[in-house]
Amino acid sequence: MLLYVVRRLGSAVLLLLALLTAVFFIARLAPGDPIDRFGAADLDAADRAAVRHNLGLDRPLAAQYWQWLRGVTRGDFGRSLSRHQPVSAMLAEAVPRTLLLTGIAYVLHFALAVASGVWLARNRGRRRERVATVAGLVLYSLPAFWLGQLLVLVFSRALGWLPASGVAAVGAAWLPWPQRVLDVARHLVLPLCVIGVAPVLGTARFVRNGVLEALGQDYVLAARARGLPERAVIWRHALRNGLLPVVTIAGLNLAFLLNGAVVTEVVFAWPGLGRLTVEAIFARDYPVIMGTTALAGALTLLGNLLADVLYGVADPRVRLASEADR
Amino acid sequence: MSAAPLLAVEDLAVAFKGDGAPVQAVRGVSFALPRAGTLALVGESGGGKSVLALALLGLLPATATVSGRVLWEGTDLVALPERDRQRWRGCKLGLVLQDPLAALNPVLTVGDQVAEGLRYHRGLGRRAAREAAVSLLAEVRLPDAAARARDYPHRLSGGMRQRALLAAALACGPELLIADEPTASLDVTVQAEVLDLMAELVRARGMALLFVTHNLALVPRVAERAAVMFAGRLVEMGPARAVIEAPAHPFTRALLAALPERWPLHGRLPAADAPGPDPRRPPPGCPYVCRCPHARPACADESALGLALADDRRVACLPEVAGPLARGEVPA
Amino acid sequence: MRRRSARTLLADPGARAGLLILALLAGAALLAPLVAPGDPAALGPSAARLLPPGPGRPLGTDPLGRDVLSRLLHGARASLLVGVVGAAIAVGLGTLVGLAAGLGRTAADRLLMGLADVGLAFPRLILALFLVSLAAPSLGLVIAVLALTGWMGVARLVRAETLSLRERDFVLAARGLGLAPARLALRHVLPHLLPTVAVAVALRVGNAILLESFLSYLGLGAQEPTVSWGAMIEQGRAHLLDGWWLTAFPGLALTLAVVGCNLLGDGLSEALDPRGEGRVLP
Repeated sequence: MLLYVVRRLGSAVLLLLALLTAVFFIARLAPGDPIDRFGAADLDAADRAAVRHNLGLDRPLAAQYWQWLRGVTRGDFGRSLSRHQPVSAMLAEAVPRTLLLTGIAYVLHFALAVASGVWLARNRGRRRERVATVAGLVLYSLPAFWLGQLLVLVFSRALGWLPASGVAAVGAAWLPWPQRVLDVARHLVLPLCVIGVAPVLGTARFVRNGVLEALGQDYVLAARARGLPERAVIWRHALRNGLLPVVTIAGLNLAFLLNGAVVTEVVFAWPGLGRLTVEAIFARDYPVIMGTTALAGALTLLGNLLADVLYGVADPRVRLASEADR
Repeated sequence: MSAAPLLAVEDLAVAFKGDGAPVQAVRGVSFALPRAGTLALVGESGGGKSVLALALLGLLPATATVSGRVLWEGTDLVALPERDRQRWRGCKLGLVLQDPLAALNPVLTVGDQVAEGLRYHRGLGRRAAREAAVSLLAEVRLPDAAARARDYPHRLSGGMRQRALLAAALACGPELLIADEPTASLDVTVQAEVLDLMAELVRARGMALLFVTHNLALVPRVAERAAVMFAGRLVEMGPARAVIEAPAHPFTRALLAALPERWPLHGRLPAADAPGPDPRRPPPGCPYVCRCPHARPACADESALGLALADDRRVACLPEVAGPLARGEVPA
Repeated sequence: MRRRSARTLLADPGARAGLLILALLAGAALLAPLVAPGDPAALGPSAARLLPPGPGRPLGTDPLGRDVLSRLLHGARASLLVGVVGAAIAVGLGTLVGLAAGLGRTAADRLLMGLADVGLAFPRLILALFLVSLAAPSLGLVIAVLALTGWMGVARLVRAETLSLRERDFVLAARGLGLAPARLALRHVLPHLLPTVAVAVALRVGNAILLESFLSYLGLGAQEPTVSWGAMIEQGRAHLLDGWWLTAFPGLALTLAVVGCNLLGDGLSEALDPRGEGRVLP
């Protein structure tokens, strides 16, 4: 098991390195003068040269790359051009908010997907499965930013039940903590609907197929022959096996949810990683864009790594295989 | 007989819905099994044996229609609601399946699976269930039972898995054990070991046994009586020795002829020279006519079939064919 | 074989609905100049600004007095074109890479799949935003970004299938004849990949349409005077209460297009790949 984790960790580190390299070289080698992307487009030649020198852009590419990489490994992504503060400070502020949103969305998404996947499996071939699948497909296909805007229109503007934007109400910091938590929770409802709930069918279909496959196995027949109630047959025997393929896509789903987070952060003005990226694009703030891109990639890699390890925990055969390797 | 038998199957039929006419997998099967009685159900694969076994447990898929009666000490199981049948399974009926690797859940430990019946039927706690699992595994002579209980099925050998499966089936002390080709996937030596163990446990616990197999040679090892099945019907039934030593139905003879004599445990599937009858439109009378060397026009007449060779020995064949065959003569 | 697939596809009510939806939208896009009641760019008089749906303006007008239905019909052109072209290039690129990795040397395979893994390590939207930010926004850039961020998954899928195909008899026989690698790939392996590729295109078009509309929503995609559904929804953002039709109709059109693609992709994977392993999404 340890060996398995170490191996996965090794390949994740390699990928992370490749990813950072990609971010650096794409930003440097894209068509156009890089210093224009660093906010010097309107300056005259002498000032441009000064900027180029100050940013270190007149040094050899390899040296710049090495310097950037060394900075990044120490958490130094340079300074923001638009906000005049270290990029790392901005990231440190944004990442927890994105993780709060995606973390809760992740749990909610999988809980709903498992419940509805099991339901779909148990109702296979019935009319209600078909109806639910079509409804789920429409929900899955809704453009997230449009859905967000609609929810704001209905629940914030028209009904006034839920806040339309932000993490917390203005002045919430002065409230006692239970009310503060409640306030954040109210701000979370609509974004969670968009990224956690609406696309649930995508994952639920995997759960359904996995459970159906497991239900056809001999061990399920054996469990039924032992007189287990149907609920135990499904949740104890079928679901554990049916979830194995779902765990392998769990990492991919983190990337999927981060995508959703970008959209929702923009629509709901949630000051996280996605919104920071979009703001930086409009401000042509390249150090920030590079920082958010690299960090989003790193988070996804971390998610994949966790999914791999989880798979090893969930399937004793994988554990065994890696022990046998030794 | 004063008391009702443990299990009495009366005119049981199973049909599967599908495209076109239903597939009639089991037709008009009747037999009785006394308490602690042992019966082997023999036939070729696809002959309806396993379907019959699952019908007794009530575990057929929703596409199956079951008619007739399965009387358990007088209670008709077919008519019972699913909730009650579920209580019957595991408690009164135990099942051992053919492929022990497939029949054990790869993500649960062996001990978990052996004990889970106890947890649901008897409400045993986690610790009590674990202890029960270990003693059950010891009863099936799994070496180092306590350690094996914590293992996942993949760490066990084929024979060990089959023993574990047997332990799980025995957990709640069933009165009838149904074993569906329990040793077909094992090596010959392991096969003999597991069979002897099963026969011994059945005797020791006073259980009844329904042993489903395609291998007639295994039958005397575990069962007193044998019932031979072809195309969903019972064609011959009687004491195991008598059926093997003096087979009266042409199909039973064919099954026996397919066994290599020197290696009685190493039976092969009887070669199907010709396909069986169409299960959607079974012919009237004996289903074996299409392959039978002694077939004659009267075989299509249901009422002409049937011969009682002894009190407990019946053959579903024309008396003028089955009689001479049972005496070892060639029918005219 | 192929005909049977087509019949299976048409027998599936979902796929039929998907085809119908996409045909209608494609018809609207092609015929937009003919069927649209007005000029999508024509500004209306101040009295005609931000009017709710009513006679003569079935879907209302926008804050500049332009007819929403006309803009919707013209918007179908940008959305569908970018979606289809972007997804097609992405899948084509992915197929080539997957073929090369599956049939090529180990080193090439490692390199190409390493690239794909790096690409897959980014959330697609963040990578797309990063790439879009490097040049001036235009629909051409959006197509390029869709291609650059969409090929990796297809490449992995195609490589896996190619690896299993290359051990099959007919490919071994063709190799034995000493066919050139490119010829081998295109003549003997590619045809067997077509079902996978077809399903991938259908499922990815929907995704591409969504991505394009979001970029346009941010103002990083289609630029005026090109009409895009995403940009129309963005316009509705400032008029949620006094102009709900600005948000509602382009969003419905967008949803319809994506539902159509997903239904068709699902039906295609059912018809072409009965084992259902090609099913990426519902």
